[in-house]
Amino acid sequence: MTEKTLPAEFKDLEPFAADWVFPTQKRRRMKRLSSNMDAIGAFYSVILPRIEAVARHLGPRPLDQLAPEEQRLLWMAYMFMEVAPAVEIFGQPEVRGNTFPYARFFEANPITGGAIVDDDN
Amino acid sequence: MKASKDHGNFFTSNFGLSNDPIPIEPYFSSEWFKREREKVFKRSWVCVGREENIGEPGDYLVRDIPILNASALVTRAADRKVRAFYNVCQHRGNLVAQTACGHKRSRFTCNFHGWSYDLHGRLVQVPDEKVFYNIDRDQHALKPLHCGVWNGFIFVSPDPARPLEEEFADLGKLVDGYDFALPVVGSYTAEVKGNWKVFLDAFQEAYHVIALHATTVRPTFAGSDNPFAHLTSARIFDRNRSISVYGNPDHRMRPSETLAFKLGVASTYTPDMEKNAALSAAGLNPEGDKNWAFDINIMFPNMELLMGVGWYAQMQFWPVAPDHTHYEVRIYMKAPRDAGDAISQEFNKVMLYDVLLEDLYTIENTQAVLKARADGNFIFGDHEVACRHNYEVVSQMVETRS
Ligand code: FES
Ligand SMILES: [Fe+2]
Repeated sequence: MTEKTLPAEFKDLEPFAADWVFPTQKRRRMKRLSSNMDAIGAFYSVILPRIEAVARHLGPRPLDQLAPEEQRLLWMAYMFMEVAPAVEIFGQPEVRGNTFPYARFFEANPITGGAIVDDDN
Repeated sequence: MKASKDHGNFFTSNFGLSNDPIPIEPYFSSEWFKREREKVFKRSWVCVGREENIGEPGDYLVRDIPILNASALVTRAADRKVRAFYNVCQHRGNLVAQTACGHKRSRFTCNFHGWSYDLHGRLVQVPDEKVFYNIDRDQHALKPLHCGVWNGFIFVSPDPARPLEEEFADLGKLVDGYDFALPVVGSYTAEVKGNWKVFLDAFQEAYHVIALHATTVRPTFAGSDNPFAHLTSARIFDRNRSISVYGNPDHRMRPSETLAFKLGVASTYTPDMEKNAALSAAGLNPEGDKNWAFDINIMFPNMELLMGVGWYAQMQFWPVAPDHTHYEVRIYMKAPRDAGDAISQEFNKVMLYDVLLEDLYTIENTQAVLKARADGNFIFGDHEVACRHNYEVVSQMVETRS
C-alpha cells in the first residue's frame, strides 16, 4: 500500500491502516476476535499514545464533515476502544471465563429488534 | 427508599414483601406460562417501538409478540395519531403487512387475495366484492389493539387492566425531564433458552457484580465503602419498580477508560459524583444518592430502562416459551458533538457488549437444571428485592380468578 490513507500527521499509524480500519462495531469485533495478542498488542501500544492527538486533529466538528482519510482515522480510534479490554483486562481477545457465545449475540435492526446475520454490518 | 447500612432485611420488609423462599415452578412450568399469557401479558402493556421510528404520516412498523401469538401493525395516519392493529387480514387470516417497517404507505394490501386496509385499519378495497353477499366493510376492519405513547415509547395491549398513563404514572414522575429521544448507537439481540423471569432477574439486581463481573466491571460498581455492590436506593410503584446502582468513586481507571472520560461526555456512568448529583434533577438519581451510577427502571412486565447521564439502554425480555426468551437491547446516547465524544462512546459500547456476554451466560445454565429440582426454591436476598417483587406481582396476577 503506497497511497496515504490517513491524514499526513498520522504517518506513524499508516502501517495499521490496511488491517485495523473497519466501519462497523461488528467488523471491529470480528477483527479483534480473529487476531492474536501479539498483533493486538502491537496495534494497541502504538495507537494508545496517539488517541488524544486524533481527537484534537479531528477537532470540534460534526462527524458528517470528516474527509475520507479523517473518517478512517476515527474508525481506527474506535478499533483502539475495541481491543482495549483484550489488552487491559482479559489478556486474550475474548472475555475471560465462561460467557455467552459471541456468535449468538447479534447486531439487531434497531426498529424491529430482528437479528442482522449477514456479514456486511 | 434509601438503603440502610445496618439492616440485613431492609427493603424487603419495608416494602411489605415476604422473605420466604420462592417456589421455582413458575420459572419453567408450561401450565404457569399459559396462565401468564392470559392473566399477565394480555392484561399488560408491552413496548413495540419508539415514536421516532414512525415519525411521519404513512410510516409503519410490524412487531411480533410471541407470547400473544400475535403480530402487531403500528401505523401513523395523516391525523398524526399512532394506532395499532392485529396484523391479520379479515378475509382468511394472512398477514396484512409483510415487511417489518416502511414509509409513505397509504394502504396495506394483503398479498393473498388483495383486500386493502388504510392507516386507520379500515377495509377500503375488496376485489370482486359482489361475490361476498353485501359485505359490511365496517365489520371487517383490522382488529385494533389498545395503543398509547409514554415518553415516546409506543405501547400496545390486547386488554389492559389499566390505562397506560395510569400504569406508568409514578415511573413517569421519576423520569420526568429526561430526554429519551436520543440516537440508537447499538442494538443487539439473542435467543436464549431461559424463562423470561430468570432472564429479567439477572438484570434487576447488582448482587451478581462481584462474582459474575469479577474481571470486568466489579471495580466500577463495588468499592471499599460498598464491597457487595449494594443498591443505593429502591422504589416500588405497584407493579413497577426502580433501583439505583452504586458507582465506586475510587475506581482506578484503565488507560482506555481514562481517555474516554477525558475526551467525551457520554458514558455508562461518570465517576464525577458532584456532576451526577447536579444532573439528578433531569429524571435521574431520584433520591439524590451519593456515589450513584445509574438507575434501572423496570416497567412491568417485560421492559427495563437503564438510565444514566447522557445515555440509556432499553432492554426487552420477550417470552417465547417457558424456557425461551427473545432478548433485545438498544443503547441510546446523546449525539456526539465531535470525534472526542464519539471515541468516548465507543469505549462504553464495547464494554457493554462484553459485559452483557457475562450477564447472558448464567441464564441457560440456570434454566437447564431447573426442572430437575422441581421441588426446590430460589432464595432472594434484600438487594434482590426487585426479583422478589416481580415474583410476587406475577404470581398474584396468575393466581387471581376471573
Ligand atoms: S387472506 Fe387477505 S385477502 Fe384473502
Ligand atoms: Fe450484570
